[in-house]
Amino acid sequence: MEKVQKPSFIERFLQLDRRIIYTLVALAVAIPLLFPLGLPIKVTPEVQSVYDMIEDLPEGSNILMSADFDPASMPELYPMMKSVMRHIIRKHHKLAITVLWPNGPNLVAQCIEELKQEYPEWTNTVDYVFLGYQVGGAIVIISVGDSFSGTFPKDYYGESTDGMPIIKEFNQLGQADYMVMFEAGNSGDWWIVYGTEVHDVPVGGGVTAVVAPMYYPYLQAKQLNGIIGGLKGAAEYEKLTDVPALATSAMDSQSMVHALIFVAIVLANIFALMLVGQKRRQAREEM
Amino acid sequence: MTHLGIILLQNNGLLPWQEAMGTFFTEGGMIVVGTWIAAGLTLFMFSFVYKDNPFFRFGEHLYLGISAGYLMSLYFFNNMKPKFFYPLMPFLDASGDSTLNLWVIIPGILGLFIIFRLIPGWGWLSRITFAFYIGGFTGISFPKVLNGLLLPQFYATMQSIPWQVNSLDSAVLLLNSLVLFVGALSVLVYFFFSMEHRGFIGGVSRVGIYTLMIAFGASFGYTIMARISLLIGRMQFLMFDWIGDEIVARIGSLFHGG
Repeated sequence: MEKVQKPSFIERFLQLDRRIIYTLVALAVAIPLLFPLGLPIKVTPEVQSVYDMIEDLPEGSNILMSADFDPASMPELYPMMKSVMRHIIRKHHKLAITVLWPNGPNLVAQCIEELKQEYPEWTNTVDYVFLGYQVGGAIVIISVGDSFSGTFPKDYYGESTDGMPIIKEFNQLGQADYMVMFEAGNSGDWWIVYGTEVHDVPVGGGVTAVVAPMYYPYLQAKQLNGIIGGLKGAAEYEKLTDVPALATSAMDSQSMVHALIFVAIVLANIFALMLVGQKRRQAREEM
Repeated sequence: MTHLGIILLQNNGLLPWQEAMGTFFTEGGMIVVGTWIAAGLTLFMFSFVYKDNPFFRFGEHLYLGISAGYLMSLYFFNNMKPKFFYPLMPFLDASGDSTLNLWVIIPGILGLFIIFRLIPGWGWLSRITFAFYIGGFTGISFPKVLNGLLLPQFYATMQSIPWQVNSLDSAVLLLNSLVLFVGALSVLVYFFFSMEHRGFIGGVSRVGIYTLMIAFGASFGYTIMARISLLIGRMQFLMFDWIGDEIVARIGSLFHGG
């Protein structure tokens, strides 16, 4: 009877049940949320650029914000959108907000509600206008080059935009002194190609980590003045505005999971190489 | 009947069950119910990491169904109603802002043609709509993509290399420029299929492969960061919104010895 060889430690490690890895990842996320480590957050130049742009604009400048994401990207983009919006309110800039994703408007409305509790004097139709969602993607962007009120006859709350105090002074993309876009996909490409490049408006981008590599070439080409990338970027912006919130509290978990994945990749590769060596030795012995 | 009348008078016209439901369906009550439903559905979705199961499939189908229904209603009320039905039938618009505009019939018919794809034998009509859409949009896009995307990216890649090094920053700038120069050229050579990838060309295209692999690696790193962020978002919801800040803080303080 042929003797069944037990798998070695290396083989068992390489065939580790994925559920063990999932459990380790879950623990690496949950434990730092319970016991914050307070790891330092370093502000990168691309996030600093977005902050500086909003900070250095004269009070009352026009800023256009486009929130092109939905609940699937909320953990990354919502905290950065809230931080940027808070910064805009503090600097008393005028803000127009559009949405190109159909599931996005409720998130913006929630963000506005939360910030209105912090800044009750921040007034709808005067300090800001929430234009809501409009179908059409790139066509909407081309259209806001003509007018906001023509593209969005009614705002998110159903009020006619024509005649709003803010719209009297800020009714076109070209009148924006700066634009910030929050992107979970390629709508940012459309904003750059059909909007900001055409009307020569400086633009900064808050993007999910998945799409961040797609937007870095725009930064290199100076078509974007800065990028707030993923949860890390959101935490950096929270640090700059001095209001640590959800993104800051999540950074410890993020670092722990990255460390775990790093160790797992290194160990798996070392063991895979050791297994190859082991099999070669076995083959030599059998010859 | 008299008894019912007295109850209605006492409860501002509400029956007792209606009053109880009114208390339940307050804003605070709905937030609690909503949080529990969201937490339950989150756990349903997480159950997939153990193995496929009916709870996961229920959550998945519910999400798809609600999304489809929500999008359909959104498109109807945000677009079809104000941009198609009101201009055709202004009397339907209670605000009185709409005026008769028969031109909307043309996009209406073109839109209808797309739905004809579902009818065997009539599908060819949709090609008219697609031809119009693709032709029109290509015409609009071409100059804008050229000026807004291709040319600025060309200029950014065709920067002269700053050879003079007199500080750490200038050394980093030189390194970046060289990486960009070698990386862009080698990847272009890798995608140049009119010459056999042998000898010098083969060597350069191999550098192109390594450049692409580094780019994919960076992209993979960002993807991990994004996916973990989503997990953290859900964990924050479960721990702080569902279980509650106070309970989580107390658990934390037990181990901190507080």
